[in-house]
Amino acid sequence: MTVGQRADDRRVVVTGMGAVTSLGTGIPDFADSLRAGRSGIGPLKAFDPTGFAHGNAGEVGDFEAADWFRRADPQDYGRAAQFTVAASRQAIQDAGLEDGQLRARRMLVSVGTTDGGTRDLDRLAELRFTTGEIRPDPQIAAKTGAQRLSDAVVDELDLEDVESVTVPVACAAGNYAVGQGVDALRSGEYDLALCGGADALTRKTFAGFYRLGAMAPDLCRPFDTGRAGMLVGEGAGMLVLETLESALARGARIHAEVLGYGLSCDASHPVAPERDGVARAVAAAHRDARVTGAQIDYICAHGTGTKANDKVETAALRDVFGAELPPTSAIKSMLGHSMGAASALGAIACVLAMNQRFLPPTANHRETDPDCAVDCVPNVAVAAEPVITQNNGMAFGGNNAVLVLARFDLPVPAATPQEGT
Amino acid sequence: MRPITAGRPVITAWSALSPWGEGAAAFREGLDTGWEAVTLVDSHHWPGTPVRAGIVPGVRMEYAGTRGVRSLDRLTRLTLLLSGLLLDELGGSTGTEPEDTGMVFATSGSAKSGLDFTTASYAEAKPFHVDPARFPSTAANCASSRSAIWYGLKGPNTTLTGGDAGGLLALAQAARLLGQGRAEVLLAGAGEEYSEDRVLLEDALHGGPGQAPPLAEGGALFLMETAEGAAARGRTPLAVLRGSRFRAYHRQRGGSAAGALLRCVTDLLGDTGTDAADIVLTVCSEPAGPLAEEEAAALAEVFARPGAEAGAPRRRIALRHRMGHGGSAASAFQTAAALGADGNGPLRAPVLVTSVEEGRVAAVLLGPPTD
Repeated sequence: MTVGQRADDRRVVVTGMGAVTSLGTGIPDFADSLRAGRSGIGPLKAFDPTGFAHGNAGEVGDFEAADWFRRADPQDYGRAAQFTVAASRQAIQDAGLEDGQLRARRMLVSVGTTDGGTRDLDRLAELRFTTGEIRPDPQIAAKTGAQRLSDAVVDELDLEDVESVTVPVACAAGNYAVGQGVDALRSGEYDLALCGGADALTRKTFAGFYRLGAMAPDLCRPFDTGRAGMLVGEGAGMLVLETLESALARGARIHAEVLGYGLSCDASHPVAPERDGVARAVAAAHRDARVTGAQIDYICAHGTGTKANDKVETAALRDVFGAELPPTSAIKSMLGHSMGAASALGAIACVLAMNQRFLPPTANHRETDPDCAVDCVPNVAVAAEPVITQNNGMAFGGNNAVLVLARFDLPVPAATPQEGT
Repeated sequence: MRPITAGRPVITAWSALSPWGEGAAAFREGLDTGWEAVTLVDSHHWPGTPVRAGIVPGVRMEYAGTRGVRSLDRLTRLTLLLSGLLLDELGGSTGTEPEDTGMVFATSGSAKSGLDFTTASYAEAKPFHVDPARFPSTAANCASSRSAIWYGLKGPNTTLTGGDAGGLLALAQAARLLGQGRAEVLLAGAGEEYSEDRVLLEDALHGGPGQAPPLAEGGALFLMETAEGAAARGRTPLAVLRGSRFRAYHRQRGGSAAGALLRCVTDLLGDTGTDAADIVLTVCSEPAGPLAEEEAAALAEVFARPGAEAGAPRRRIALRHRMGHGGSAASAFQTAAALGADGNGPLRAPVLVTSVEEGRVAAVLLGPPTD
């Protein structure tokens, strides 16, 4: 892998990852499930779905916040913030960083989200309706701010020299947060960042997507002729980002390199994606990563499974890549749409694909729609050796963010000359 | 921090939409006269009960009646108006291609929009009888992405949330995006809406009814570009963003706002090679309760250190008691005050902006464009 004209203190690598998903908590479970093409979809449990004609979702099961909190009190935080802490704890352990080491470093903590603390805001709405009490319960009110997601990590890790920011850029937020980490490291302000995304399933978002007719009645079937929409999900994905220089200096295991990313705004419609805007984000990511489409081996699509998304996304990819698209799969078919976590989990899926030599499948696939004809790796993971991968994120408001990652292979040391030869 | 060798981020224009009114001129007038813009507004939930708040007067209605805009929440309408005010400062255009023009906006979003939407799901005949046109307003990126649609801003469009420091986080992130060449110009800043739901949530966090400080709404936006870009477009910078620092502190583990802010500002001065004695003005955040004393104590120590007269009083201004607490917008209002405190020309000496709240402090240093 030869990419970087950038100096080592400007190259950004991934040295730790953590995941909380409907497919399992922890990177090993998440990776196994992606490879096996498992489904994390089941009947909704977050709230009583009476009155909705259907209610499947990708919920996180058996999550015990207390398993992950060592210092902060999980009762101070809502479900999305708890997911964030759990994924962060995994990521820093994976990175081989101790709490004491972290506290000594200057850090950025950036967490993308759609709904932030809406799970608790929903609870306040429910209490208003059922009890007539207008004034919010203080303990619930304290969990409603979106900034609680990044602040929970700062509290749990006892960080002080830290820029703590939550990035509520809806369904592309995870990529935005990783991108913020890339820029903060490249700028030289930081050499360590903890970035990703998180969301907890909310009635508000379920009702909203349901009303828009964007929700599938049973399963999410991206790129399929019979696709009927998305399914809401939840979870968190967090990544430890580090300058290559910092990672090498502490002998860290390097999972992958973030070659670059691109942002764009459609500036056209509040909810419908626009081909030109998405294509601009993809092209910007390629420019920043110093790659061409031909070098990309796999795309982890935004792939929500709605009629509009898959068609527009595919057309936008073709605008940049030309006729030849690399395999392009949609892991939301297995996970559901975990909102702010989605593109962070997509980034992690790309890293796993590169390091474990496989392409994650698109589940539930029957017949590829000619309107979005991609090799979507139908139903079964494929053994492959992707070296450069792309992760798409598109959000309401036309906020697009696309990430390019590369397998990181340390240069092979020059062979020591043998005596006598 | 490594020295920035190229692409220094500068502010070339700004505007504000505040309880003092529409535009930079109204903001400067409020600043000059010290006019107290906190007024009494009637309670929505308990009619006849007044609530003290800093409300933006007479939000122009052309943003409210247009097709497709009727369903926008107040935060989004205020942000559309604020963005328009900044563009007005530039004669209507940034002079850049839409693809190179973006926005970095800090806000806590509209709690009212979220509460109303979910309440409808409970109250209506069917749980999905919610208004789809109002669904986008329940996400915090609605205000910024709607501004992009309204004004054709096709470059990076980022929304941030980080408490009262939001406006400063937006400046820092805008500087990074410019430094990496992701945009030519960015509208960077912060905004909030007034709603009684925001008051009730703040009251709950402050110990009960009437306990939260009066809230302010509106915001401020700054046109940011690199010094080179500004020169190429014939704009004269008002200030250079010398640097920013952010810190957290944990009171339950012995931390204090005073200690955190002292360290934060000391680091910022060190990063930027700035002598505290050169700073002519501090715009502080004046947080509610004992935190204000901690902010003052930290600043007193910062300015007592340099070789000049020990403890010499530095010029310091605060806005909160005159317009209310702006949330994310508070630090954007402070930045506007830093630029507007001495007329409408470029800064002549460094100005410090500090933000202090429970658990979090931040500081930004603006310098004269001759830096």
